[in-house]
Amino acid sequence: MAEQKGYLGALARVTGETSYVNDVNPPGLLHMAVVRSPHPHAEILGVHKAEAEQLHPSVRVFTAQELLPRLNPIPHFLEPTVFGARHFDIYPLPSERVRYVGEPVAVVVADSRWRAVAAARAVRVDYRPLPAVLSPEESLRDDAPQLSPEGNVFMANRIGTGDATTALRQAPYRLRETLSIQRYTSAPLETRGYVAVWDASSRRLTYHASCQNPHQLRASVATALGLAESDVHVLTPAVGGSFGLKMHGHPEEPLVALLSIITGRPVKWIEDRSECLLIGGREQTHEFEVGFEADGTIVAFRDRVVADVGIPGATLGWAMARLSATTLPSGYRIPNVDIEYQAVMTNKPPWNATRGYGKESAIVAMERVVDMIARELGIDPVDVRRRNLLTAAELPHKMPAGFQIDSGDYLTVLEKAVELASYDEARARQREETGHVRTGIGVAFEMTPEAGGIKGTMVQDYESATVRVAPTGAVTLLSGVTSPGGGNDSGLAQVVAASLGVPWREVRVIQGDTDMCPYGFGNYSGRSTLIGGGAAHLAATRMREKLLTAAADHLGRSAEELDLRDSAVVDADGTQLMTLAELSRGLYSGVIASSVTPPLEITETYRPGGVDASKAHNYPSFSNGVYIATVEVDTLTGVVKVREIHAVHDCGRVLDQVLVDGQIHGAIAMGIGGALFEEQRYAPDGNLLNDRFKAYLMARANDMPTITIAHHETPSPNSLLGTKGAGEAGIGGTVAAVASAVEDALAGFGARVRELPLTPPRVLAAMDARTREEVSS
Amino acid sequence: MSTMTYHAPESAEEAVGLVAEDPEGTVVLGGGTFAVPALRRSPRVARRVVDLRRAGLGTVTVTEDEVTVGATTSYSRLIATAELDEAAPILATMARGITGGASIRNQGTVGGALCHRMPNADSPGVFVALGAEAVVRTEAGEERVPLTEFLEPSYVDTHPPHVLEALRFPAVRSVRQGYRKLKVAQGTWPIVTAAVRIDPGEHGDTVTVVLGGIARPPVVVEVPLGTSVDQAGPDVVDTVRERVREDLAGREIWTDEFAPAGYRRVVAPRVAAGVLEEVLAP
Repeated sequence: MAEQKGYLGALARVTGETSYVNDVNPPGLLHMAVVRSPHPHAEILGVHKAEAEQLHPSVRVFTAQELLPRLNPIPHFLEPTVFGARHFDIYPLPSERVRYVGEPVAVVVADSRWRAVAAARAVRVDYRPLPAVLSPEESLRDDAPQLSPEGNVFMANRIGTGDATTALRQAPYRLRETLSIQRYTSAPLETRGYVAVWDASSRRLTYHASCQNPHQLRASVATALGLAESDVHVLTPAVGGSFGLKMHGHPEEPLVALLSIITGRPVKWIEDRSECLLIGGREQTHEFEVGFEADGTIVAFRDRVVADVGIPGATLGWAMARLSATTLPSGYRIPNVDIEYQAVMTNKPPWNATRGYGKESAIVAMERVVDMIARELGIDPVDVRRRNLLTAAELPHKMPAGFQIDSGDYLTVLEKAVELASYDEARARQREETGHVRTGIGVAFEMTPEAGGIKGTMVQDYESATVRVAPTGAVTLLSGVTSPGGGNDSGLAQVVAASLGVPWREVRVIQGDTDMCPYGFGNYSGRSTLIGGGAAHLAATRMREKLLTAAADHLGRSAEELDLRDSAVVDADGTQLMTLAELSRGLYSGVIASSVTPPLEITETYRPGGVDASKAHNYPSFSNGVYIATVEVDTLTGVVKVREIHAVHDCGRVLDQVLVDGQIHGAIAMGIGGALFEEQRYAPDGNLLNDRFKAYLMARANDMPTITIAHHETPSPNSLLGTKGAGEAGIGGTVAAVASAVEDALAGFGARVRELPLTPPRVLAAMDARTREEVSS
Repeated sequence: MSTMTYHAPESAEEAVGLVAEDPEGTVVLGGGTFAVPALRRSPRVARRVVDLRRAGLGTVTVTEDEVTVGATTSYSRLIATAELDEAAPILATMARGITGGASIRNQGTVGGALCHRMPNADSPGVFVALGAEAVVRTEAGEERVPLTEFLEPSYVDTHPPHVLEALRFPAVRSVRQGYRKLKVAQGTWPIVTAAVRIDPGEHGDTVTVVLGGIARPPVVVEVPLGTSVDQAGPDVVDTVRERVREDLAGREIWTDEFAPAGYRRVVAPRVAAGVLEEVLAP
């Protein structure tokens, strides 16, 4: 098992010393605020800015008519045609028609944030409301308003294997069920924010951004503004959570920069919480049918997935609907599979990527199916999983979508989880229970494709790293990956330290600076340690070889006899021969004669193996885990308390358990939110009802259960360090386990979980028809 | 640009004078935990903010017979006032159950929660159950108003400019009582609050249930037992649950993003019965 080292800069984070983008305040700063549509669908008749501009001399209002001549379409993060969707151009501001509440209509700058906000409120916009649709059902009607010239289905496809129709017909047992997963989102503690500083003399834009992908953001902003990519320098300070929200393509990104160019002053925009909660991350229904045998063996599975993706933007959220479909049927051995998916447009704000990237919703659906079989047959849900999960010997395994699961030992992970949770004893206690508070136990298996790449896009599965050793011996890693705040910088420092032979806290990690760092793709898809760590390992290893060559030259020894440990050159006995500082200074100053020529700087690029080059979309590794939730359900009120989560996780080789556990803890919190609390709810007029944390409920510390985590390591054969990625796992497994536990607690009532989140009204309504009628009145 | 003036009066008299000068354009701050975010979110631009932090309204006085809670008393102050454990146990229970962290406990005020007349706040039901009067300062002087009247949504529009000074109620040392709230998650407002007290009378005990989160003002259901609660037997819980259910059946019930009216109608009698069971537990 890995060491437990921890998190660089943790103390600064928790004591408020860390600087974020909102701490960037250059002289002469102006603040941008956005005038947003109050209508879900409307024609823009006119924008009147005089009243707003009279509020204060610093206020200036800019309309689409004024700005669009200076803007190109926002480049898509993910070109829609790659996944069979339609290409469309999208500009930061619409000129004629708004299509969702919150769509930017105009922008305002002023010399203070609140002046800008007040001025934005004072901008008067004339609209002619148009019919709107707020659900796929409405959107797919023949008489629905057309949200794009090509219709309201943005993307659709079908994947599968075998003959599901025949297998379902012939199966001894067959069940149909539905599941509705709510719209919810990522909601990082730090919202998005950008500070653009245009230097007219050098014609260069310095762009501070709380973002995930600085190099691609640089290209996006440059393209939208008609600048050369080299005219833009993106800097990413510390980030307070991203979870996909901060992948680029948002309209505010080029607008901040353009206003800086127009005004000649730095311009900042910090997203308000209500703006942050506009963005969606999930919302889909599953209509599934499963055929199985008397012992629980699944023979066929069919699922029709309909996702409400709102109005697609240049962000890549809409593609999550596809990933839900392609992740099915998870790690189960099902010979006949038929998955049909549709991404349907409605008059809701766009999706952006959200942790799990659609894969978590697939897990929730699949685990519901397995539970359904267990209930129908009256056998333990663990046994149904034992019977149907792929065995270690069956891996690698090609999924219906073509993804190849690299490795794993699902049954051992399952058994470890059963033991960790004392499952049998918990079941025995449950049987003795009386009273109106019922305990439920839910089990979920989760398999998560991690570190993906998509051909033809700037979502790639390779990464670069530069290792530098300064004359003083100071070691710096410049990485193409960025940290969203979860601590991958600490992990990368550990990789470099171990590969080079220096103390890990002495490795300075620089990320997020497009002028300094090698080209890279930032953070997403659990790639940072798997791919970025691989690149860092290669660069550090080569640097070590170079340093030992120089030391050997200087000492008249063979490089094979030498080693680097704790920043010193040692011999085979461990005797220190010279320090790294002495060696480095000697090389830089020419005192040490060697075949090695300074500077001591090496850049390496790494791409994991196991990738099928003939496929457009690949994942080199698939983490997995089993989550067992214990909940208490008050059958009088429907209130659910999650008491325990036991998780056994396999992300391959664990480099630092503290960091991996941190990822899983966070994912479990998000999963509990998704199972019980989080939901973006809309009024009939298309306005979000809960646009703040008091109403958009996330799990807080005192909503959290006792969490027990164990690891099972099956190193990935495809990755240099044996890691599989751990950034996207945990949410789907937790949502599924909690949902399963609630249903288990209410088994005596015949309750079925068909709709998430499991709010108290929904739980009561699930218990019996009469209560359902009363509760919904 | 319009300007907003900030005032921190040093007495209730001074405060009400400021409010009276511009009642429509004034926002009064207790602790500001609700009003300040609301100001940020609202298109309404306040011309004047009257902050009561220096008005001397943050004290709690407990005598043998009466409790006075200043309008700007924080929940932390309530928690720290040990005398309330005996003189108003449900108030102490309510204060300890306030969520939102130290910022809400230290900054939020009981008066602020009442003045916003949010049906699903913690305070209204508890103070109504305690039989509190609102001590209200107008330019004409001090008035005592039954809290249920003060909590009517129309009170502000139908009364002269005023400032809430305090809540005053009899000490309830010998009254059996209990309080509980039902929440979706820890970080938000209750869906239902239930305060229960059992008062002895000439013709037997009366169980009073006060429900918050149901309507404005809180719903009060009185159940005279005609005997003592201990002699009434275990059926008393069912009786009270049924009386609450009957009372709510004909009412218009509050609905919000956390729960529809129907849910509140179903669970409120159950929550009230649960509190009564706790109160009666040996």
